[in-house]
Amino acid sequence: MCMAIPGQVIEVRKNGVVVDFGSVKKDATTEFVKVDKGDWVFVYAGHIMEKITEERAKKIISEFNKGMV
Amino acid sequence: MKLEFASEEDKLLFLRYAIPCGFTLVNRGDIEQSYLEDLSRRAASGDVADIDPEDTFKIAVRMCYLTAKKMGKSVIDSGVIRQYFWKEHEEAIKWRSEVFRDVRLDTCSVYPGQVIYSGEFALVRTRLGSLEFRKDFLPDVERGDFVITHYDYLIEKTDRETAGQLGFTP
Repeated sequence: MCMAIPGQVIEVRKNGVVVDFGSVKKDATTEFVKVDKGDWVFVYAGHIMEKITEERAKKIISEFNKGMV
Repeated sequence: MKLEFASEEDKLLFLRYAIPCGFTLVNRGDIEQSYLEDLSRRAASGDVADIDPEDTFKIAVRMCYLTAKKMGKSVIDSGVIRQYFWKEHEEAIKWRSEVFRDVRLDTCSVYPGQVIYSGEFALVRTRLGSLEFRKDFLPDVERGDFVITHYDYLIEKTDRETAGQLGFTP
């Protein structure tokens, strides 16, 4: 399922960033999209794919939690 | 950053691998069901000249681009597409399941099988048992054929050896 997961950038490093997904934190690359600390993003397999709004991120997280998607 | 397909044939192959999980985009509200059905019909007939896969399957195209880079290729060809959907897709699913455990890995994997019966649908023996698949992309499939499946679709034919390498045991 090539669907990205929403999270928030909590740390910017030299070679990538750290994204907080709520339950876990993971490293991600910024090859496709440049981001800043605090940005909400879609991540897939360790790569940031898109910047999204906080509202959209939270809506999707709540749908994930309900098992809708 | 170039995300180009080596040929129209390769673009079509990519779409056939990607379309079966398009329903997740419908569930998420990114695309309409009717749009996905139209895309599926066009991928079945090969009428995809004016379709840009990145419009709908941006992530999968990018993942193929990364796979191409790893393989030392500058464009996405059939070798890249198969490497991604057969192998690296699995890793990506695992990554995803470490964050959100909302999908069963089995069901969104790409895996091989052998056709047992071909009628309106194809009954295929797979590692998950005998399952029915849509023949949209392989209308002329016959009993005994080795095939690659993704969700409820048959994607393309393969051979016994490749099916075996992908974990199919006759």
